[in-house]
Amino acid sequence: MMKKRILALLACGAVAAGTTMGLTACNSESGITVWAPNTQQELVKSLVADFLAENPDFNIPINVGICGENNAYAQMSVDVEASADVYGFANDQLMNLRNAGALARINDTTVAKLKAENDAKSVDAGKITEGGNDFYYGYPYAADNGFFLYYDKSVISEEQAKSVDTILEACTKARNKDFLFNMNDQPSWYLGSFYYGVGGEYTMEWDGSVLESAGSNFDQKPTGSEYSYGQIATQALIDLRANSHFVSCNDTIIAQELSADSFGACISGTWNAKVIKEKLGENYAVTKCPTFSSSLTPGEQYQMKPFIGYKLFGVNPYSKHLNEAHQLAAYLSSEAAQVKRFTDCGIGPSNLNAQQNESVKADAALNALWSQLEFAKLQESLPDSYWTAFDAIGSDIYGGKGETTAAARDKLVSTLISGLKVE
Amino acid sequence: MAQTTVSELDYLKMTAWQKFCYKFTGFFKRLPLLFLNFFKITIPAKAKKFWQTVKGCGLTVGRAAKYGDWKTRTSFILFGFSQLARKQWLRGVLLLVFELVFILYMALFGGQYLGLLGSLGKLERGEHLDEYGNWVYSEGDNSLLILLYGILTIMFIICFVYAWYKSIKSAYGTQLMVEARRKLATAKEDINALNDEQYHKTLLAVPLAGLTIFTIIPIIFMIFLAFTNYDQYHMPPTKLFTWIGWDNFANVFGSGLSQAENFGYTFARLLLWTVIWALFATFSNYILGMIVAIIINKKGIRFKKLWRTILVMTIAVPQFVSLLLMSQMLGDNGAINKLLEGCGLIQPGNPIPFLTDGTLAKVTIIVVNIWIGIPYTMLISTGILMNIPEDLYESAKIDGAGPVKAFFKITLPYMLHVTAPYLITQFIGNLNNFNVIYLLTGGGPLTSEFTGGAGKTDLLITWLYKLVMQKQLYGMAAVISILMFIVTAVVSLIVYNRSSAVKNEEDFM
Amino acid sequence: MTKKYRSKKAVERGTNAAIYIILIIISILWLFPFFYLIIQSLRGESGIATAYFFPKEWTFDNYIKLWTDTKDYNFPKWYGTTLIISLVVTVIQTTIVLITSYALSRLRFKLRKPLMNLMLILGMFPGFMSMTAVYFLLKLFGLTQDMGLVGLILVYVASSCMGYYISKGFFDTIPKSLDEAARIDGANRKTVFFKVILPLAKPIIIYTVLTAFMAPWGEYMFASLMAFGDQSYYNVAVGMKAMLDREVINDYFTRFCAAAVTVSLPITILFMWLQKYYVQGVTGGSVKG
Repeated sequence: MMKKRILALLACGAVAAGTTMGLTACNSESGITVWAPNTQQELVKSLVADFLAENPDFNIPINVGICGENNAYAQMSVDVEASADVYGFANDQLMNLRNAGALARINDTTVAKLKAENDAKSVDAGKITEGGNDFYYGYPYAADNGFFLYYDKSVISEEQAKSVDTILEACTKARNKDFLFNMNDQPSWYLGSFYYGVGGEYTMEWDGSVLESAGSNFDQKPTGSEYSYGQIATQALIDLRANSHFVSCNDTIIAQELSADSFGACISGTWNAKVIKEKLGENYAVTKCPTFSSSLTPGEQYQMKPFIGYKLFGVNPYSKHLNEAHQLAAYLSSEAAQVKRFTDCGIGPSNLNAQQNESVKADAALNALWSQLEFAKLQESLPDSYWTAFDAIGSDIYGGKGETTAAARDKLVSTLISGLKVE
Repeated sequence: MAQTTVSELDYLKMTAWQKFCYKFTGFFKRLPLLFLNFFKITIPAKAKKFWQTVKGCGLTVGRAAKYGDWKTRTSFILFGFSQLARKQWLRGVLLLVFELVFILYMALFGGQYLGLLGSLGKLERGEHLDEYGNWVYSEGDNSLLILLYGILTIMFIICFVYAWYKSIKSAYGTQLMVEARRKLATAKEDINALNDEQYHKTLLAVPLAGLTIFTIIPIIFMIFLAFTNYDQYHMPPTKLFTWIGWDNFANVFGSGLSQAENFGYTFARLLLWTVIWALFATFSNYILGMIVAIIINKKGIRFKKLWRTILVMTIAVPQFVSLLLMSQMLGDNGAINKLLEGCGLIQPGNPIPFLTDGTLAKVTIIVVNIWIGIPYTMLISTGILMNIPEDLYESAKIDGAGPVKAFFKITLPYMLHVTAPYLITQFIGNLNNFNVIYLLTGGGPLTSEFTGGAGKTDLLITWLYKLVMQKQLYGMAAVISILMFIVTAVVSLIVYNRSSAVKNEEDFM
Repeated sequence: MTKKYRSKKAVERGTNAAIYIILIIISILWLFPFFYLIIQSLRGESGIATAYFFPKEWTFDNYIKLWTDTKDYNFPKWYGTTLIISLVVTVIQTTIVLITSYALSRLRFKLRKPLMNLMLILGMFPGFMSMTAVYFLLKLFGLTQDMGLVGLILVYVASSCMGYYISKGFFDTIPKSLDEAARIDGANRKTVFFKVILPLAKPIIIYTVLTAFMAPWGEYMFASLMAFGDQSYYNVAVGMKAMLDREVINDYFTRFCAAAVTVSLPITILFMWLQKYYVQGVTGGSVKG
């Protein structure tokens, strides 16, 4: 009992002390904080050490904190004033971050330098057009956010890997092998590639960082076809679902299939490269996303058009050392830093020189990803309705077990189209 | 059974079960009426009572102003003066200190926010180029802090007015005591009273302070948010948001979200599922948990500790872990389907869609929830069951009642009596049960039948979460939560205050 | 007579046998996920999942690495942090719940009913809606960032009086005659609470302690909001969630399971230790009226 009371007293004391301290003292934080994902902590710490060594008169302490690039908006929007000065983010959060007031503009000289050094799309990934002027908000440092095809060479030949149809044929022939593609576990990121593949478009009108309108042309028909883009792509997915060698996957199922030796091929991103490579050994192979067909347009092959996304460093406009934060962000995204990021963490650079680095060139997964650049779609800031509409149709197609009727399919397509529309 | 009226004689003839059904259906038939009456009768009555109390306070202050001596009158401005002058040091010092704190607070902090509350901020943060071509930023107002700290300040002012009233009342009271030559309470007596007649004040001061600051004020804040245009394009501290009146309410019912044609449909379907879920989740856990507790408690059953420990071990694993594993195991390619496939119970490639079929997923969730809930109910009921007076059972035994009859005649009524408030809070907790659904299915399977990212197992609350976290529709979400709150709060207040446990609190003593 | 007696005994034995079977089935069902978790934590092969149930390679490596390899994921630190949070929360929350429920069960004052009604309905507001407000209130008191842990504790305990129902229900079953007897002996209400009621309330104290102690281990939402990118402020839930990021999950899943098993240990031990008092409190004498 006594002990308990002492503990309680201590706790109350701590609370009271905290309260008074907070009321009297103001924020004494004076350094610069960088947020990077868990896996890059050591890397960023050593980059910061290099930076301080190169700039001996930089006398502001630098701290490194943890925040995943895909989580930047969620964390920054809580309290932007208390958040990091420099942080990494995936480019599809650009508009949200800007709306939350979490991105400072980069000055023209720096932008020119970024444009000269980096892949053009990666710099544009941080661009917002406002009143006819382009403004830039991010220092690109990674170009590896996308998906492509992994396959087992001993099951599927290089030629067969070019089309979903031949992949499935090869899997059927090998009996116990599967083709994995995410169709029901929040598959929106993947599903668009079918719709863009048949020629569909999704367009957004922005006024600065405010979305004015958005919509798709999935109800239109390609010339000479009696079916619309939406119908053709949806039917292609229904056909895929009907195949008994197709398995809708998430990362868990990929791991399961690998351990069950039923992995034939799989569409996924670079984060799964390591585990697939380990399991397949010398049969490991990667290539661009395959083509697919739809039973509505027999004989036609469509190229899947996946998203490609970039990662950039943003600078917090609430930083107490704004210029120094820009300086640090520029360093963390420089050529040297990007090469080091690749060697230490295997992250694909956006810097043109770094992309020409011998070891980068030798990385099969990255090359498969980059070989899609000519037809891939830049993953811009998409409104939430985009994700929910595609998640929902994926889940419905999956639930239909490939037996979805034409009428049900058309209903799904029209719901998708109205779900994508923003007015 | 479901006749609208039953004569007293018929009622007496019914079996216990029929009586229960009669009461149950009767209650739900009367619910709409009770609901309306709550607004027509209860609320005006409470308001009237409140107004009378305020008027009474006003009269007291008036009397003090009229008949008070100079010491009492000085207390109007200087808190505690009268008490200090009459040597009631403790009361006097406390009141005076409170006044000083209040003045300091208003001058240093509260005043500025109060002033801006009407507009929620005027100056927006600026962005411009400096002479070196760099973008720099100027300070702006923060609407969110203005609203939040403004509310805090108003609450403080209310406390201040109350303290002012108390100070005057006590000053005048002391004056009368002195005039009547009665002895005044000393500081020691004041303290002693706090351990006896006033003990509730001592006990409840800290809990209620915490409740006020960290629950009530945030809720008031949220209610006010419903009248602002706070959304992803008006995010403080960079952008200002402002008052927009009832627009959000109009949007929920009229345009806005509901422009998607199936908004109403989605809402109705989710509401229905929410209620079904809450009923099943509450009663399945309650009954089954109690039964488990009873059979473990039964005389002659050994290893009681072992059984209890086994059940409790499952609570020991954090829910997000156990539910993650469950959703892995129950997946179309999960361990359970693989196991069934291995036993030859299902065809390969034709798994049981535990979580991917809408209806089956609902059943799965309820079953998983039983797995989660039973250990808790078991723990609670064990304590209460053992407090049931043994002689009740013995007399039942003499009357020839078997264990089943004894359960329905004694155990269940006793448990219901003691735990009715708990049952109600469980039911409400399940209406708002976020964890299980969110962690197990995330509301899925999603479907294009619904709008706003809702899935077939989404409860209204998880859907609301999606609306807030994904769409940043803070104002709109606040509206929906207020509406949900009004309905659930009124219904549960009616049920709670009619439940026998509250009416006859002292029955089973 | 003896025949009847014997048959009654046989029936009794039959029921007990049936109960044992039910209890065993329940135990298997309830332990299965736990068992699965332990097996996963002992799996030598990496990866999120395997298609087979029993690992091909058994190992304690996951546990060892969990506690020694703290470079990226400092589990010992999170564990310590959560343990401290839990202990402080347990003490404060138990105290608050007990005094609130005692006051509402035993003391009679004007605002009692309104208070009970208020607390009943306050819980119906969705908590996540007010998270921002709570955060900025804490910030006002300086209890975010560096003082974040204190803030977190404060938030966990601040509204704990709302969970008074169960213990109030329990206090209601303690006969009032006991208080009255003590009052006649000259005890004031404070003495009655500490000397008469509390010693009888063991089961409910233990229930409260157990639930209060457990909650912080699984709390994610507010803890992640308060962590602000600093690993030293993580609780185990936030830290373990980070192990599930798609970039690392294949390497860390088995370690995640080991972490979950480790987390469940203190709670299980606490319960086993408290159970002695629990049963004692429940069966111990003077409550029976």
